[in-house]
Amino acid sequence: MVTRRSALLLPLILLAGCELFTVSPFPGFVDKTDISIDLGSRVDAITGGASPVTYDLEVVDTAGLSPRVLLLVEPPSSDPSLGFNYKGKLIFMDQDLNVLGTAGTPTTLDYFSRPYAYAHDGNVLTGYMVLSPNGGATSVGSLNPPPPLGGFAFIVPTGPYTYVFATPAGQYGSFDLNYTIYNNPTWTIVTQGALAIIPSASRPSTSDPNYANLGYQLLGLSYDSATDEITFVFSEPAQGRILAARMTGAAATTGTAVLLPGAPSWPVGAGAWPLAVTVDRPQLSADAGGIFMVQRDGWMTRYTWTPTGALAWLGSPLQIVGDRSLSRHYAFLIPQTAGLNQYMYRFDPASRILTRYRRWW
Amino acid sequence: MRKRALLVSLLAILPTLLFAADQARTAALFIVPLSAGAADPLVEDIIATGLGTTLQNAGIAVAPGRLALGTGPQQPRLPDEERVSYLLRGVNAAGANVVVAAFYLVQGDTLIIQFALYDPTVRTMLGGVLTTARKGLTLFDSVSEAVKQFEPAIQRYVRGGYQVEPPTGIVERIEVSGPPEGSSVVLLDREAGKIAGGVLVVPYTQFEIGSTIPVRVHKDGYHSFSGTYKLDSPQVSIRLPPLRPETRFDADLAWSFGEAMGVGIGGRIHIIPDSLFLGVEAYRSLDVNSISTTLVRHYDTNAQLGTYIIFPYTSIFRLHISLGLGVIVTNVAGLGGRDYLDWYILAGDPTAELALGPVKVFFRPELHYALGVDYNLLGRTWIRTPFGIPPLTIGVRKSW
Repeated sequence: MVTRRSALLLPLILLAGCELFTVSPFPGFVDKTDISIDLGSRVDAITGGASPVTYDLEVVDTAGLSPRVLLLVEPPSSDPSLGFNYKGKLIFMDQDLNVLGTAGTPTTLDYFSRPYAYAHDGNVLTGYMVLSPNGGATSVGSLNPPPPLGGFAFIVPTGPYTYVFATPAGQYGSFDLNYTIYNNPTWTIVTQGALAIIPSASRPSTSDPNYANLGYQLLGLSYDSATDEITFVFSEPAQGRILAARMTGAAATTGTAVLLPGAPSWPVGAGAWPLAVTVDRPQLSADAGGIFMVQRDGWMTRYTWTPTGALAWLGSPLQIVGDRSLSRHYAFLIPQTAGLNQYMYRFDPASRILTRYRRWW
Repeated sequence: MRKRALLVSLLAILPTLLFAADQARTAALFIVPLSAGAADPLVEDIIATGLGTTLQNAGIAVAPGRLALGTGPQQPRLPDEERVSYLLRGVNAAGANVVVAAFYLVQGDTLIIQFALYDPTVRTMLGGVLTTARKGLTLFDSVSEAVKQFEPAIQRYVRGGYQVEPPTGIVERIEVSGPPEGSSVVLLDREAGKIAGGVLVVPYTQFEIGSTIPVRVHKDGYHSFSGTYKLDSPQVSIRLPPLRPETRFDADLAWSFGEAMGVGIGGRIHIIPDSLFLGVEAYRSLDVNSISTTLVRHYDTNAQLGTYIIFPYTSIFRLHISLGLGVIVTNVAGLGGRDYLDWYILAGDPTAELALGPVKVFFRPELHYALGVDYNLLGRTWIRTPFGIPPLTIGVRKSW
């Protein structure tokens, strides 16, 4: 039976099918808005009204565990009398944005940073600190020596292990990645080393005055336990492009491996990389299925790659107009546990509102 | 013998014929106080007596008349020749050959008299004298003396020193038409009258044929019109364009590419008609992608101050620009909490407007810069479609 509502909607839907009528200056995910919470009072409680406040929004997930949404709130950390005096807090929420807890650092000299990930012991690795999934302290506490910071971590089930990859500390861009592998409840370091991105002979001269700014930034990383393949996603700022390459976990952690051994010279031609897309320094999130990019031109793009085998794009990228500003923080949940919903999270620093959206991709 | 007898007979009757011709002349006599309500019967009686005697002595019969002067805020003043001529053009001479008028003004002990001799047939001043007399005991003598000063003009008229010749090279009649009823017409810098019955016959003013005069027409609620016209014949018909009503208000109906599932309305008040305006617009739209999912409504409202540029109001194609402030409220159905608020600045909104009969069609890119304040969707950026261009709006506008 055709209801009046459906009779009215039908012509509108048909009209909507015409592309000219579907364009909009508003983000295309607005109609996917699902849950929205105002974290203003929690943020104020953390910052005490101090400004400016910096934020980071992360989602941690692994098969068999409940995803967590982490919002890092960092008020100014410099104190006239104490010097560095870290006051940042990490708000732990479940995927439905119920606040589970708020974590601080053991001392004001400690700080939160990437990587944020579930670890092999079921806790959450936040930089060099190991916290419970609700933000509580663990017996592990802080890792010493710390893992590579600013990068990404994932669980390798065989072991199980926690792998951490990052560019060397303090480098804007690099030609190497450092890694550390942990296992056991005591977080024993199994191995650590470096993974060269391109051969040493292919790199620019270290005498190049811009050498420190050249190289690659690790923007995202995903791990496919079925194939033991790690997909690395880099930004190459000097070329204004995104590059992706893939290597097995075993090969990447030999200590002598080169991600692109055949690269003739820097910059590596786009054709020499397994995948490249020209885009300028986006916010990027990688997962086993592909990448999300929040671009500076206002587009939000989803690229997917073939789940197994050679690294390749799968189909055409899906684009959607997002915020035309990178002042917001986005995180994506692609649950590694089959059957769960996929979400996008968006935090607006101006309003301190965190919103969950249903999948638009 | 018979010829001589005939000549003698003619000479004998000539004075009689001449006298008869003189007796055929009549004069309409008007005695007019220049100051309203300041009529002085004694002065008028003495003037009437003096003038009547003088005219009758000149063989001119007198037909008294009355002439009313318009009153106004101006102080009484002596009429200049043009004004006297203007006044006398309006008198009813009742068939008299000549109009004799005496305008007088009593100021304290001073009596000022303007005598005028006017030919109503050809609307020509034949002569005039401005005299000053004393009021009081010597009033009679003073007025008599004044009349004496006017007497030569009468004598010249009687002697035929004045030749009535229709003026040549002078515009006889000017007719103005075109503007709406009640429009005031100004020739040179003088108000000539108002359009009535579709036309104005300009009161007689001596203009030479071939001269060019500025004409201005104005009426409340209409744009005034100015132009210069050449008086190229004795009978001139000046056809002016109809005055355009001043626009005080507009009402708009609009649709935007980029917010396709919506419609907008707007209204404007013209601070300066057809030039400077204040406007308010509202655009209501649905997020097209949300129709089959969660309904998203956008409420776009702005206020603006704008001005027309480059093209005059008479042009069918015009441009206007606007500056203002607006906000887009985005409501997501079923979502509690706050609506999104995108405040923005109207940064120009250059609008092309085409007048098509009773309505105007307009087109504009929406140059709106989102400020990225409050709980917003767009951030701090130009509001534009995925194609990189701003939303484009077309609409119709009715003005009145």
